[in-house]
Amino acid sequence: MAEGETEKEYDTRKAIEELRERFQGLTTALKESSQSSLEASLHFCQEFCQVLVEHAGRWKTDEDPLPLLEVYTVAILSFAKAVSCLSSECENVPLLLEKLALSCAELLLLLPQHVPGALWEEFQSSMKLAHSLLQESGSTQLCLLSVLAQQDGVWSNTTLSSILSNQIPQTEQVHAYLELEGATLLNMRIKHLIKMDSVDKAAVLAKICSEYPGYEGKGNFKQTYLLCICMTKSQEQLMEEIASIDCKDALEMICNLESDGDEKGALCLCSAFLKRQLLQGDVYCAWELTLFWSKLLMRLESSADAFLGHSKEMALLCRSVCHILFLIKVIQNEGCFVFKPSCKKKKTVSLEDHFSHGCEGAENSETRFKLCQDLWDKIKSDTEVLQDELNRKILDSLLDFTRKCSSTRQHIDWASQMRASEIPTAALVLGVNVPDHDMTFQSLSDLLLHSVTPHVASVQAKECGALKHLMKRVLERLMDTVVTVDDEEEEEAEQTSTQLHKSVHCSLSTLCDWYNTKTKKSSTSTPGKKRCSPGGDDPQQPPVVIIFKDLEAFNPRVLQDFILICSRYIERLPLMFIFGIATSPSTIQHMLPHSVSSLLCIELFQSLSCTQHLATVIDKLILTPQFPFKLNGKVMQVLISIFLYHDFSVRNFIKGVQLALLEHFHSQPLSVLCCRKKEAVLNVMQLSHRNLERIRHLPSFKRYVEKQEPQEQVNLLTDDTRLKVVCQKLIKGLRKYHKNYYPVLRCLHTLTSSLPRYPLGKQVRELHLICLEKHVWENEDYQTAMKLLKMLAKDELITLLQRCVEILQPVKSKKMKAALVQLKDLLTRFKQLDTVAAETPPCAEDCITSPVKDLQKKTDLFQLQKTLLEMNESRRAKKLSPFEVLRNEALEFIDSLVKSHLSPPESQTLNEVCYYTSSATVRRHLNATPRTSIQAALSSPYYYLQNESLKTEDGSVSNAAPDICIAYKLHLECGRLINLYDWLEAYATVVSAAEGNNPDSFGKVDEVKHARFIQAVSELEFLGFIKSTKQKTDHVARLTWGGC
Amino acid sequence: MTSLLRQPGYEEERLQRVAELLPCREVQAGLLLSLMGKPQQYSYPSVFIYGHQASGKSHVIHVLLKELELPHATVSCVECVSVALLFEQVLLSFFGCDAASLLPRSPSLSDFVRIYRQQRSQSPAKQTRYIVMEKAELLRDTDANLLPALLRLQELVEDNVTVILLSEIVWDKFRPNTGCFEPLLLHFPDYSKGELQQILSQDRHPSYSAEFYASYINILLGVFYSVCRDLRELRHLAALNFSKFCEPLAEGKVKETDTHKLWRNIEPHLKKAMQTVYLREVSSLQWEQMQQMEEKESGALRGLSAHTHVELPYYSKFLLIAAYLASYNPARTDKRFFLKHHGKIRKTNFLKKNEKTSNHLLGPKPFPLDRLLAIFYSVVDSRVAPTASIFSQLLTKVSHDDQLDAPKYKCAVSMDFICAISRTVSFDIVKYLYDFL
Repeated sequence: MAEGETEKEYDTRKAIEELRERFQGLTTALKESSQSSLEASLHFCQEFCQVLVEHAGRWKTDEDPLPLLEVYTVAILSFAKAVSCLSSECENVPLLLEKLALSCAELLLLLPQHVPGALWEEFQSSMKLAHSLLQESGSTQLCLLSVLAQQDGVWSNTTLSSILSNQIPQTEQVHAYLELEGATLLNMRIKHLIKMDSVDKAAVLAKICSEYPGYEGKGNFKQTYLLCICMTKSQEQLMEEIASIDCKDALEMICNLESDGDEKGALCLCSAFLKRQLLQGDVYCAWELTLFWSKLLMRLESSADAFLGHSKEMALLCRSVCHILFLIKVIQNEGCFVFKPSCKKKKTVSLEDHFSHGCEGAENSETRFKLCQDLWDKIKSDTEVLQDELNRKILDSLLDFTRKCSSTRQHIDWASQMRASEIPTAALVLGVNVPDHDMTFQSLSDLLLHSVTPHVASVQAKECGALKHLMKRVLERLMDTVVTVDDEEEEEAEQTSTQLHKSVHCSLSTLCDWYNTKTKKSSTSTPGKKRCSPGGDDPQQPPVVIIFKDLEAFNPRVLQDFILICSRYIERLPLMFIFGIATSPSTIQHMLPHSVSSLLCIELFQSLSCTQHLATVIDKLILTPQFPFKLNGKVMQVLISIFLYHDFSVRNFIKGVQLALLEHFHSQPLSVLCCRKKEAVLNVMQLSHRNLERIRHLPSFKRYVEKQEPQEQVNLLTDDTRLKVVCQKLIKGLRKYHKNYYPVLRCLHTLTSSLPRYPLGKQVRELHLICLEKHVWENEDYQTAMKLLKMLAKDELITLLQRCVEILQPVKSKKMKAALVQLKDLLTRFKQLDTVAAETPPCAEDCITSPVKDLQKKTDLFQLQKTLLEMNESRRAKKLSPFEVLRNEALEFIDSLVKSHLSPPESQTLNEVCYYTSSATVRRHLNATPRTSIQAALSSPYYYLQNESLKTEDGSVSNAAPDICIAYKLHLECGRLINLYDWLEAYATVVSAAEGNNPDSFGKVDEVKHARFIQAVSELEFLGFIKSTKQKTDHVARLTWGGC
Repeated sequence: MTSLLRQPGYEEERLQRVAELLPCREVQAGLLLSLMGKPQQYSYPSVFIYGHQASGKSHVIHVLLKELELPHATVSCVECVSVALLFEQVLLSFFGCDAASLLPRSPSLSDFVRIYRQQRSQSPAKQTRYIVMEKAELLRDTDANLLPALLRLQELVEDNVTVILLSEIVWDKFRPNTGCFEPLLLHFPDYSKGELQQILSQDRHPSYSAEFYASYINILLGVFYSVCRDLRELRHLAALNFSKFCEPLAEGKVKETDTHKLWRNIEPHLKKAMQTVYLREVSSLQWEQMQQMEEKESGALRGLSAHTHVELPYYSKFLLIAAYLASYNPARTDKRFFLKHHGKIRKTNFLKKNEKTSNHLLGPKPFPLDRLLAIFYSVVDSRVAPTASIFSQLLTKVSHDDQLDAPKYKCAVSMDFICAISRTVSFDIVKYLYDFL
């Protein structure tokens, strides 16, 4: 054994000698090289690496680290000696040095036992030498190693060891030490400690580092620290530790970890923060956290079951409805339910085919489809989250209500006993926008199922025409079985009587029995518990909730009977109703007589009004630079007027946005650039020549070109690469415009929305529409608004400006930051006015008050007018008070902001990329006009049939048109009453002209023509153009006049 | 008292208990008992009991049959959407589920009788069987033969069975044209004030003495008896206001015996409750919250009828206005109201006396769709394209199985409502109404 040892040592020594010689050889070769210094340096670096790798490969890091250390020492020393001859231009030299230093340091940290004295001394001396050599040539890469070399062991620094043993020395000492070591080395140390499973030591070190002010913004110590404590500490400690950290920072850290490839760590951190938010019932950043959490979990968990399990655990922690909704959403998104993943793929493929079929500019249709899809997905999920948040309050209170009902049922106090026979009922007033209700009810029943009771049934009026149908639906939905109603259905009568046993009879007593067996089954798992505490455990008696989605549409008779029946069973069955009401709650009183409504214990819940809902949606969806896709003024106008004039439905509004989105990406080839900045810049580079030509033809781009120098104009119009560069710049400019536009819009709105008579509208959307239309500052209303603003009192103005500051605060663009600073400055000056004014009493006031005094004396109207005018004049001429000066300054500042940022998007170059402009298409699709299209079809059939033979000029109908068109055309020439026989003859003439038969039968009515005519006439009658009349025989009355 | 409920064949103890459970209905219960005779004796084939809501009909029957453990089947006619359910429930409670399953699909009356007889022969009645039909007035709407058959079911099935019908309507309204077996009529009169007092005092709060609760009921009846004699409503009111009544006691301000002070305390609250008798505007839970919040004068909680405001889209409002006008104006006056150059219509001719007074009293009249649309287009000030959105709003209203060709409508909203709506769109509806010309 001892023999082998020495032999090994001998080998090592020899190898080191050999290495040293080879390096020597390289250095001399370098000195004598005839090549240029740069090439020689490159050559040297390459050779050097090769030799080093060759030699270092003989030992393994885990087994023989000491010889490796020797190798590194030799290598570094030799390199340092050679540095003076190397070219300073060569990039590889510092790179190589840094790599050498880093791997050497890593090796040192790895050294398991104490380094033998001789070796360490050699290392120390050679490092010192090398470092001094290198410093002469100005490179500091070896700092790291020289710091290490100054100590007498890798881990032996006293400060370090006391830190690691958790006895923190004095702050100055620690800081001195940290300053000495540098962030890189400390980071390596921490990573090493984590690798060696001494995570708590790593945590201590990381904490110290993160608290050191010198390292702020360096090295992510905070993140490492959190990760360490996530791995070691218990739940409570962890919560305490992370309590003070902002979720936004946490999100950033999670992203960092994920991009470093440490998915496990990211998940660890993410679940810690998510748990914190859940426990605190805080929704700040909760959606992002939930989303990240689910994505990370899905990557690490292969099976959907495990994912569901984790989600369930999370759901148990939830304290707020919103969190549960988020969880439900991610579970649905991850496709943990039934068949989704398999059919999804197929579907999108066919969708894509649809998209690229007949779409403008097919070459980049794939990219556009993807962009469109992504954008829509984002919009959709965002609006859903928004909806949930808006509904949160009402849903929360509803859930509370159901819980309270099910718990009071089991209490035995006097008051609730007296109420025992009443059915608890929630009247949920949702507003007239019925299409939106579905979503609300869906999330309501999801929530109920999730957190209150497994027994929820929702019914709609249209499926419950009679009592037995209502009964059947309720039973089916609660019991999940087929229920027979005794209808006279013969085919079922054949079924044998054995079948009859199984099928359930449609009555509430069946439901009672079923409920009893259900609850008994669940309570058998804890036998005896129910006996001793009959009221304590409410999960054993979950309420049966029946949701009537549209109360108004129900037949009152049916509803009354159903409630009467239910009240008979209320003692045995804990029933509960939820009424969805669209109009007003008094409908309950109209529908139910006293004898029935006295059986209910009604509580009212009012939901948010739909206009508020729309305002929020517009605020979050339209008025944000987050989505690159925009609507122009006319399209917005169409969508909003459909909402206000026709349906009040937010869902339809979002559908409209979806339609516009799809149309935009489908019809505009340049929409590839309508995406996030990075992608857009990339996509610009990949534009084909044809698309570049399209850009050149854009009106906004033409305008841009005209403003350029002649030489530049030529360049732009001929040179593709130049165009691409400019496009990138323009796209960035467009983005910046949006970034500034929305904050300024909001500021202007806050200033003007409280003015009397709302010159610029009450809602932001109105102002937005004005701004989209044209230069807002040219608008008359804007002038009046500004005039009104100039009359604001001080405290009002200050609060308004304060709110503007709040709006501008989170905006990250440079210009807005500058504006913010200016605004703040103005505010402080406003506030200072008080102190200044207190010191010097305003002398101007005296002058103003004197004419007012005069005014009180005079009563003559003419005189009054004159003085008023004079006052006005004099005031204008008068020296303004300091407040007025400042106010004017502030308003001028606002005005300048508006003028520089609120120009309409049409003035921006390349706006066609982002803005969808075709309002006619949207209107045609969303607000169809059946009557007009029927008339268009009848008067010019070519429009729909696209048959060449039907093409005519000047609006006349060709002979070959369908019979009904000819008949229609002829009837237009008649008066109020049409003689059928005349009509028939005219018709026959036209038709035979088309057939071009022999002149004998021209205009003659044969049987076929007669039949065709009759058919055409009856079709016209069906369409409502004529009707039969009794005023005159053989006449019909015409019903439409003029073009509609 | 108990002497009334004396009937051979029943245990004395049970009769005692029945008497306790049926305060103020001893006479009726005694009469019923004597009608029923001994358990095994045949009784009168059918008994018809009528009386107002909450006069104890179901309660008396239920207690009697339950406490004396007589075989019976209680059926609510509301629940029996088909006769099959009725038959099934009867058979189920008399002979068990085997018998009930023998019924064919959609059974007829004769099926029922056949199976009943078959079962009866297997397990003949040792005691009189009772079939109780609640809300019997609904039987009038079922098959014509059902009611007469039930009345003489005893004969049909040849069994010791008695049918008891409970209803709020007098028998005269039941009697079919074809004539039938006359049941025995029994009237349950309304409770008197004293009786109400006695009954209501029974459900006293466990933590207060019976006298105290009785005095509370006395005060309550003093206020409400003049407007409301319904036992159920009174009980509801009693439960609602009791906590308020007890408040000074809980605060230790007065003693239980100090009736006068208690009265002074509760009076304003009872007066307030008086306004909402029968309305059930808010749930009992919310009422309690309201009582607590009263001091703060918070108007957050309002009754159901307080929320009459309805948000509607712009054109929907005009559609509603058009519908209202079409409902309340005679069609011949449309020309006068909606045509710019309607020419001269003589006033005397135009205003017919009898028509003028009546329209709003008579209620809405039906009108066809095209008249509605014509008025709509002339009422809306801007030019509206006849778009699908407007049509679809109308189409959802056509849910009746009327003739599809020319459906007719009525406008069901009230005058106040339409005035409020037209005010929001600044449309002076009164100018367009014939009645107010």
